[in-house]
Order: sequence, then structure tokens, then C-alpha cells
Amino acid sequence: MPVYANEMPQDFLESLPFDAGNGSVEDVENSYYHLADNVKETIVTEMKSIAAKARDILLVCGVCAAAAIINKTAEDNKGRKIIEIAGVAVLLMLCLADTEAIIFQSKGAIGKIGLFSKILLPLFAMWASCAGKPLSSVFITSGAMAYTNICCILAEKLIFIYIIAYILLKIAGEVTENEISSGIADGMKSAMLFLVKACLTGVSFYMTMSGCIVSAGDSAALKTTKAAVSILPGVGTVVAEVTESVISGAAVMRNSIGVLGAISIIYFILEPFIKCFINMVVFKVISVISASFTSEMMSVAMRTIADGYSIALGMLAAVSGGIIMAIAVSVSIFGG
Amino acid sequence: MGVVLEKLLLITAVYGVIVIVSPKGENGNIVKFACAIGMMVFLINTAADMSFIDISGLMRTDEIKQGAAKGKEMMKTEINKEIATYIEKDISDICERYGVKSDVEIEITIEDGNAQIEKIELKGDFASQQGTGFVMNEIKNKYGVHEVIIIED
Repeated sequence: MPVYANEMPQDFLESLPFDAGNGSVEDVENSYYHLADNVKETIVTEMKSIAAKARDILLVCGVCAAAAIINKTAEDNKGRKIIEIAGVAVLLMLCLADTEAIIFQSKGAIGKIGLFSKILLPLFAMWASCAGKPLSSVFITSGAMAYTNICCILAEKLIFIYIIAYILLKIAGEVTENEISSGIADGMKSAMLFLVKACLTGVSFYMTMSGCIVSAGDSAALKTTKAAVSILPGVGTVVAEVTESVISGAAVMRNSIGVLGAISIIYFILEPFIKCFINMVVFKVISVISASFTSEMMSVAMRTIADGYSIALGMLAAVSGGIIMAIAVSVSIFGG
Repeated sequence: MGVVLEKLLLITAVYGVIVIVSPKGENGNIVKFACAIGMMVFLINTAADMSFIDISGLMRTDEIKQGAAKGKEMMKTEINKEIATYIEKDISDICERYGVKSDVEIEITIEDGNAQIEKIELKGDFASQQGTGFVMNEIKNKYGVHEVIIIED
């Protein structure tokens, strides 16, 4: 393998969110173990935190249900309504600060991915180009970069703000029994999910199509280089051997950078992703359980918060998925 | 984000209070509708902030193109270097075969569709060595170069 392909760029190693040593195979292997440890630790911490919160939420639901039973004998329905509104207010006080913090953390993770992609993708394109794929590397990584930029802007400026807006509007609509407010909230949710799906579908389509179109161009570029060197008399079959050696060395480097990049992106989203997922599942479960003994309004409030987490999850998956897909497409489909 | 959320919370709170205390019937519906329109205006305004974003800037991928161009050059340079190393070793073998001790330096350039050996330099104490002429002839014949530069130590 050529000497140039044995040293991982230092600025890239410094930009990684974990210690990757000098980027050797053992270091990459260790980073997998660190990742697994991080997953375990985050799950345990979040489960402990959410267990206490779930207990408090169910307690509030229980108090509201008991108050509603006591109030049942009253002639008008006003007392019950006030109990429900008070219950939802207490639930929001319990949950909204944490929800906002987790959603803010997700936004931060996407910002970090945006910055990291500016180091990762040009470097990956450079080594993919050196590995004999000059055209596909430009097309695929350019697509990934434009996609990441657009997703980051959408996430930071629109979707994460609208998630909070969705939760508040939907709950306000339920409390006040206002269909317009609920309708606006549902419309926002559909629009956000549509944006996430459209982004992901668009980038998948672009990468698959550009990959098919430009792979022939790559072969032509490589043949031109080989043909140029073959003109030299006396070198014979050395050209093919040398070209293979240079390309395979660059491909190893490209793959190592790709793997480290993909692990880094998982590192960035790991904590908010696990938190969002656990919260989403727990809130959905609480919503189902509370529906059996307390008012519909409380259950809807919990379900709405769970929906907010699911949108945040979708956005995290979409942003990280785009870059990981670009790396996977470059590494696996175009091979080398 | 903080400022936007503060505004949003305030509007939602005001909206909730107005809706709760608003009269029942048609008048109440008008209040609710007006509040919903206010909320929509706020949401659209937030979305409109997006219109100031430079979309062409987001699509700019100069770094990628520069990286790929650098990679392409790197591939050419490395192939070039590896072949130069091969030729240097081959010429050293030729020298060895004729019993000539010499340092060999070679330079190759590869442009699109064309490659050529720019120079072959032999460095050594040739005055005291026999067989230099044979070495030069073999190099010229094998690599098709007109001139082999000889540098006497």
C-alpha cells in the first residue's frame, strides 16, 4: 500500500467526537465499544429520569380522576372542566421544560452534524476521488452536503420551533375544545412529517440516480489516466499494478474516513435520539394507561408530547441518515 | 429560539385565556376564529424568516469540488511517483548488471492523455568506471529517451 495512505489527516482526527487514536483498525474497533458503552449509559440514565417523571404524571392523572369522581355529583360540568384544565397545566409544568431541553439538545446535535459534515464530506470526496471515483465522489458528497445544509436550516429555523408550537397549539385546542387550533396543530404536524420524508426521499433518489449516471464517467477518467501512463515505453504491465495499488490504498483510507465519519455522526445524535425515543415510548404508554382512568384531555396531552418527540426523532434520523447513506453508497455500491 | 418560544408561549397563553372567557355562541366563535388567525399569522411569519436564507448558498459545494480535484491530482501524482520509483529501480538494476555504481533520479509528468519522462539523471564517479556507455544505450533504447544526463561526482 502506498505510504501516503497510511496516515489519517490530523485535523479530521481532532474533529471527531471521540478519541480515535491515529485512526488505525484497532482504534476504529475501540470506538465501536465506546459507542456501545455510551448507548448503555444513556439508556440507563434516561430510564431512571423518566421513571420518576412517569410516576409524577400518573399521580397527577390519578388525583384528577379522583377529583372528577368527587365532582360527579355536582349539577353542572364546570368543576370537572376546571379540574381537567388544572391537571393539564400541572402536566405541562412537569413535562414541558424537559421536552424543550431534549428538543433543544436535538437541535444542537444537528448543528454539530452540520459543522462536522463540512470537514468530513470534502475529505471523503478527496479520498473517493483518489480511489478512482472523481465524478461520483463529487456528485454524491455534493448531494449529501446540500442535503445536510438544507436539513440543518430547516431543523434549526423551523421544525424544532414548530414542534413546541405544535404541542402548545394542540393542547390549547383540546383544552378549549377549539377545532381550529387542533386543526392548525395537526396541519403543522403533517407538514413537518412531509418535509422530513420529502428530504429523505429526495436525497435517496438523487444519490441512487447520480450514482448510476456518473459511474461510467469514473471508468472513463481512470482509463484516461492509465492510457496516459501506458504511453511510456518500457513500463509494460507496471501501470496497471501501480494504479491498482494507489487506488486500493486510497480506497482503504476513504473507507476508514467513511466509517469514522459514520460513527461520529451516530455519536452526535446518540444522546438526543435515545432520549427522544425513550420519552416517546413512555409518553405513548402513559397516554394509553391514563386514557383508562382519567379524562380524554389528559391522555391527548400526553399523546401530543409523544408526537412532538416522534417528529424530533424523524428529523434526527433524516439528517444523520442522509450523510451515512452518502458514505454507504460511496463505499458499498461503487466499491473499490 | 428562546425569543420565538417566549412569544409563542405568550400568544398561546393569551389565546387560551381569551377562548376560555369568551362568550358562548356566535360571538365566541368569532373571537376563537380571530385568535386562530392571529396564531396562523405568527406561524407564517416564523416560516417567512426562512425566505431570507440564501438557498444557492446552501447548495454551494465548492469545498467538495476542491477536495475531489485535489484527490484526482493526488492519484496522478502517486501513480507518477510509483512508476518513477519502478523505473529508477529498473535503471539501478541495469547499472548493477554492467558494474556501474550510480544514483538514479528520474522525473515523469502526466497530463491528461499524455505522459512523458522529463529527465533521467545518473550521478556517480563515471570516469573511473567502465560500462557507462552500455548503460546509457540500454536506457535510451528501453525508455525511448534521446538524452540521459550524466552528473560526475
